[in-house]
Amino acid sequence: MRFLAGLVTILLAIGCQPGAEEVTTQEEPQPETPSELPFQSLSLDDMSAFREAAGNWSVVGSVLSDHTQDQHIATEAGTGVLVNQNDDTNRDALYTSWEHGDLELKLEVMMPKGSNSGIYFQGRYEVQLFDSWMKEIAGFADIGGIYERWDDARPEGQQGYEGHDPMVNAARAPGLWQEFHIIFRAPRFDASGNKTENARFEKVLLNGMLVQEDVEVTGPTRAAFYDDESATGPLVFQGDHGPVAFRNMEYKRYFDEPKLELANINYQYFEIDGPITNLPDFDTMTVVKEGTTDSLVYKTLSERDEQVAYIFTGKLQVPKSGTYLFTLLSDDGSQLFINGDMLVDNDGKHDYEPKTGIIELTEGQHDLRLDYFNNTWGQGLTLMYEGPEMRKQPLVSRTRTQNRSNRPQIAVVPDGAPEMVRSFVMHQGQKLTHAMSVGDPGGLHYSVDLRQGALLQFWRGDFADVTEMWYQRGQPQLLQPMAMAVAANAGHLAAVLSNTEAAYPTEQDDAISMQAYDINDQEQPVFHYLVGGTVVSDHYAPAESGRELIRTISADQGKANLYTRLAADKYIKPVGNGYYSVGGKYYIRILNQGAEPLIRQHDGQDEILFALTDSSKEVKYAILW
Amino acid sequence: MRYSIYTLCFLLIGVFLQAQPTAGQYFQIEKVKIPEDIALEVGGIAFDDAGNLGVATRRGEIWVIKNPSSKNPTYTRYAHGLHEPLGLNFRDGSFYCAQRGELTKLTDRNNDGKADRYEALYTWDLSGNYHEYSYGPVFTPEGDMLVTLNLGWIGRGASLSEWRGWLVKITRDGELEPIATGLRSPAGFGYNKDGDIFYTENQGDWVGSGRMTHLEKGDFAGNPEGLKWTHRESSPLRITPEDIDDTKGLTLYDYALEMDAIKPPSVWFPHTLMGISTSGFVNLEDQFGSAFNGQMLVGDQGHSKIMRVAHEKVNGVYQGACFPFVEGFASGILRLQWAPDNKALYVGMTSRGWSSTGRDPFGLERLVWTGKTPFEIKTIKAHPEGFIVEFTKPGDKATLFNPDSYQVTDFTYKYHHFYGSPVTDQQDRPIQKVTVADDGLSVILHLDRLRKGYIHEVKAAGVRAADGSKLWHDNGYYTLNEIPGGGDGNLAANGAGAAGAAGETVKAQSKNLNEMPASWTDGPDEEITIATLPGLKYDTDFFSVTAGQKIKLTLQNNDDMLHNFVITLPDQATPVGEAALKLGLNGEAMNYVPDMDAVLFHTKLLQPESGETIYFTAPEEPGTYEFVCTFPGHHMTMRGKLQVYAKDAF
Repeated sequence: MRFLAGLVTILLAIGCQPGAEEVTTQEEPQPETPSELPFQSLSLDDMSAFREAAGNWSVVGSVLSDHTQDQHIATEAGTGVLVNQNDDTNRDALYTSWEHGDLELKLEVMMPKGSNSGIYFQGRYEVQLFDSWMKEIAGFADIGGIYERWDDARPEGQQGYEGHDPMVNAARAPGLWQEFHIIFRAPRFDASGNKTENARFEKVLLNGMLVQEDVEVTGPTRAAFYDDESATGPLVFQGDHGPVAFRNMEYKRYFDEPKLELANINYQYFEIDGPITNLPDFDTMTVVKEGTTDSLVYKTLSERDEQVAYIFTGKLQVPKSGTYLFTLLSDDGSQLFINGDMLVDNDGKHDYEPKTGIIELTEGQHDLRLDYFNNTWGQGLTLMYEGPEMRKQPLVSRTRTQNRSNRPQIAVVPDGAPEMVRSFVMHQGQKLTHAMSVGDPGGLHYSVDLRQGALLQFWRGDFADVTEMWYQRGQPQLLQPMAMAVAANAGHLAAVLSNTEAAYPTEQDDAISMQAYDINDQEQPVFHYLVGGTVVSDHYAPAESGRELIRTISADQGKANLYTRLAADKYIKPVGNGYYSVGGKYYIRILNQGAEPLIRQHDGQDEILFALTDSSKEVKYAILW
Repeated sequence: MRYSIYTLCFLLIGVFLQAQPTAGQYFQIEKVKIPEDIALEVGGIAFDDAGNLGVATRRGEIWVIKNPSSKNPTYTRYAHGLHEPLGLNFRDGSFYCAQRGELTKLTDRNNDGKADRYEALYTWDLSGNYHEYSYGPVFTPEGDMLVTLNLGWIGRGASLSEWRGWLVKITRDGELEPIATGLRSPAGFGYNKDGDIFYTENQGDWVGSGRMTHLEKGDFAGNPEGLKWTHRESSPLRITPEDIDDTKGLTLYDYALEMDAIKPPSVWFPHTLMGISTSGFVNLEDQFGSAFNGQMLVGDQGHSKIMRVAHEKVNGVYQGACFPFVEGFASGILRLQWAPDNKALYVGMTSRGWSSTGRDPFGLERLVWTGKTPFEIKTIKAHPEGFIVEFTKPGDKATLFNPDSYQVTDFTYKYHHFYGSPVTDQQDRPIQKVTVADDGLSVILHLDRLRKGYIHEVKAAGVRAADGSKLWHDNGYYTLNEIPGGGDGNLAANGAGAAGAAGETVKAQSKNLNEMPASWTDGPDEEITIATLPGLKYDTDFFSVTAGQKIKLTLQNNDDMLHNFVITLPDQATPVGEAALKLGLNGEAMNYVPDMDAVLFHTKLLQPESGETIYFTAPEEPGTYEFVCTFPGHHMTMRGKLQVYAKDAF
């Protein structure tokens, strides 16, 4: 069986237009309005965001780790990275100087080989950090697990309980930066301090993969920093089980109160004769009906819901000065005005689509006006807001009905031999039309752009979801990796550079063309491209260990100034044992004996190139993540 | 007693489902066994030199089937990972296929049954639109390769990347040479017996109905999108999309008289009467008996059937007739291919998002001749005074001589940017005289007038064979581009001379009310919107109203095909859908809504990306009514229930 089909329930939006996606690819890209307020950055300029701790914690400029050595970490001075380097005496945990209730947290973490740490929400509920790379089955004590609770009073062997294993092992190799996105909901208490609701991890995403969802925690997990439970507490990082580093830490704290209120809502209702594509000129129209209402549920205010328009006005009560983001969803068009100025323009005839606007509001009362029209067919209007320590929530709403529909999931499963799939592939926001993805039964998969010979992405786990290609008409015609892929950006497989300073080509052009690919004895493709009159071949194979992807690039004849670019990223640094860290996202290691790559800086990034000369027509390197 | 009643029901259903009860006497459809784990969504089929059948699939695989005619054929996956190949060919030990973005040669160099070299012979641009299909290749006698490139779809057919909407040649040296354009959805193409290139087209924007066109270098077949690339140096023609003006109200044929590059079709396949989505074709030698020698068989995806085409060349121009042939295949026919021994026609099928009459999602079948030739219209040929109708066997002289045995109606299609065209300017052509050949094998129908550029429906329902048997199929459609001898078609000498009776006017359909009745002073009680979704579906299969309610219902057609919405009495969707199939030439003008009591209310036939609102009062009788799209071929899947509740139900 190469194709697996299962039933997955998805939400299909009503009024999804066939070909709509293709239309958008033809139009000028529109600047997207932000979908949420920016996170608050946890400053790593110094240690001021944290309570006093022993010297094991410090702020540095960068960290690198040799993933082949236990608990290895090397630092460079500077700012932006928080690092723990504990010994037997300096092994404090690190507390934020602030406390939180509900918390949405994003950060990147680096786990050296064999290291262990944890993030304790409210100092009590631990998301485990561990070097769990390549573990077949991940438990609660692996990265992304919710650590178990502990009770000495329980019988021997049963003291540990309620650990939550991650749904999948999404761990990257030690020494690479791994992304967490965690949404935590604090326990709730009544006025007399009795707990009414347990703490909960609404979502934990590790490297883009959902590893925990809606996990309730009945009390502090093992080795928590507090025994009791409380509405707030500090975020605590464990520092006594080996080195660990964090960067790009940002968060949003949420509290249930206060909220925005909309008072004194008045509406005016208009009817339009004939089709409309934009909000009408209300000044020239007669009000059919008007009055007061306690919501924006317009449907109850009118006789019909097609070819209608409304003006809602009200007083917005702002309890706290700060930055607010309003999200206006409508089908068809709408506009939001605050104090007479348009904040969100969602006009036009369209499906239920969001537009947002950001505004600074002072505490007190503000005028709000909302115009809305519906031509025919689908309809809906929802106004949501997000504010200082106020989570995104409806101000007043009518949520559109949605159609639930079943469609099978179609997956390609390499079974005993590699599977190739040519398809469209999204890469860095661009739809590439001549891509091939290769799935290996061992679980290491990759995609290449056959027009450039460029490595696009690689991932570990299940191979490919091709539902969007093979279900019904297959309109997006996209292959989706079934695990979070690491995106690479190496450009043409090879290029003739006029000199060592010349830019390396990354756009499709005639300088390179794919001639053919052969299938070798392992049933893997070996690609052949023509570059400046030279045939350059490209081949990927999983290493015997199953841990690395080995790529071999060879020219049929060496040529002056013919280079292949192995990687390009913000930084490329040697980390020991021949490995280079590519932006902390993955490692490469050149396997040629004695061959020296050209490492250069170009256009603000590091590049690692290899000259394909007569004496060295082939480069072989390992990719590890 | 109950037992026998049920048996009777079964028998009736059995007869009813057998569309062509007599077909089996002449042709038999045999299934080629497909292993359960193979999704054989056929894109191309070709035999290799060893007589194995290669099948390219939508899922990017090429299967080589050994002994396809045996009970247990064996399947080997020759290649995989191709991007939706929609054509397959074999030459000198290699398979060739057009992927979406590449013409590819596949070779098994180590003879293990699996391709180990995938060679890119030519790579062309793609915009990323799903509708940019690529078909082929077909080899030229010189060994170059022909490929056709489908338009993209963005609510209309659009040429979003270079040479989309073209027939192009890829030379052995890997150069692209554009040949002809005006193509929209050119799924089937190849050579006729005389080495001329034809392609088949589907109804769509600028294409009034399915058709087949003879393509020569520099031809423009009708859809202007491909003209976007005529400024390229290699383009063999220079007219631009702006040169085509559909506000002139010309037919494609008349426009061709004004503009040299335009090539009208050699044969039109009237929409729904002769299929709805014309696909691959093959040439007939004597595989199915000598009667049809030199003709073609043409597949139809949506109607899961095969049609027959007989061309002739008049004044140097191809024209001819199409005829019904064999229907009842398992899925949507895309490809036809003769077995190397000519003993069977292999039929490759796929339904995918364009639901076909044959319900299977895909299939592979063989059409085998029993050796018995049906009594059939063999061909229709143009004659200076009308048409020559030839039969496969001698007819009964009395019926041959009787003018009432025949009926001729002519009509044309509009040439415009809308999707499809109604049957236009339809007239009955009175038969002035019938001349019968001594051998009883042919007649000349002398008409009052011949209209060039028109399609002529020729029916011979009254003709009987010498043994009294009826024709297997009694009609054909002849596309008249030229009149032998070059006449203008004015045949006053034949008698009446006057123009034929005006076509039947279609009566107003009061079940389709687009204005709110004035009596609804308080407006409708309920407003309902229903949309179509791609894949022959409405966005809901159930809605409910209360008896007697005033309903405003809007249908929004979001699909890239034509659809309507018909509300029927309980359990009547199937009979109404089937009646719609039989509306003949009037079907489109009637929005495919049959004049039946079972039809309560309906919309018109809606263009893609358009909508219509109708007003009606819900039935007084509570019950489970049905709604259905009666566009031919849609009614089996595109339907749902309308529950009418009693007024006091809640």
